[in-house]
Amino acid sequence: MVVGIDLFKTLGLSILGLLYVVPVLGTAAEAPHVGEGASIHVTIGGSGVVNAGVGVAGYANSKQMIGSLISGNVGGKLNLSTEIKNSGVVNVAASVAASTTATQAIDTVNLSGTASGNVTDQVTLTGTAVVNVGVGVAADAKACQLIGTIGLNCD
Amino acid sequence: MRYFTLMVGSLLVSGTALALDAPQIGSGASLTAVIGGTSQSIGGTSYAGVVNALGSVDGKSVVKQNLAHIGDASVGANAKISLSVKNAGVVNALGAFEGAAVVNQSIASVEGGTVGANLTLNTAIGGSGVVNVVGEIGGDAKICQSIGSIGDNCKDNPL
Repeated sequence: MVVGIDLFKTLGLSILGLLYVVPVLGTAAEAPHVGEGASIHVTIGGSGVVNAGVGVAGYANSKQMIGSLISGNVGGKLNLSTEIKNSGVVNVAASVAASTTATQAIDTVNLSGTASGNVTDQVTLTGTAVVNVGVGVAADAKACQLIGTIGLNCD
Repeated sequence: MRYFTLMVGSLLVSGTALALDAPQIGSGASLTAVIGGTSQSIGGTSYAGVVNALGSVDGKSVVKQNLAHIGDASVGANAKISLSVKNAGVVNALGAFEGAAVVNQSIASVEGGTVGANLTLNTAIGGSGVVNVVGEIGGDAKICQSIGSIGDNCKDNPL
């Protein structure tokens, strides 16, 4: 009886684990569709720090998107604003032994995304705000930085 | 392959063989996550709101961390997603891996699905709030970080 309960617990936990993990990793989400009017606002300040940092022995591909329309479509107006202020720091840093591609996009509309209404895009950097795409690479490097732009420059 | 998945305040479903229907959410959905606040001492170490998805793995690994996130859902009008990392709050998706690794962190974002009118995404990182995607990786790596964004940042160029 005890064995049965233990087996049930084990199987039950395994099944629950599968139910929890498989749906997440099996998702191939369609590009999102957003109705009329979307507003995105990001504030990084007061010593707020955002890093995508990598120490990699092989090839590395790093992509950091902040306050951006990456893909999909917005039915009406799209309002993007990002404030980086008061020692706010945003870094994409890579220390890579092989070749690397590092992309940083802030308040950017990717060409694969569409907005049918007005697009308002505002980026503010004040008070010791720092935005870096820093790369230390032993082999080839490709570093792309986009701030308040339409279209990616890293294809 | 090892998987590490962490979701906080997220709506996420897939069309897998498990035949789960995507969630249908009416108008006025609100996702709020606040990471920070009063510090607590655990085992002599002080924490002030820490969220980690981490792994130390010998083989190929996938780490995915979603906070205040809509994955693949149908959500009505006036949806609002707010995330605040403050007062030394820390959010990490990090790993130390011997093999290849994919690390994907998505915060206050819409990855897929359908959302009605007047979507609002608010993200505030301040008061020494820190958000990291960090990897120490022995093989190849693919690192994706999305904050306050619409779309899937980790879809292209599979490792």
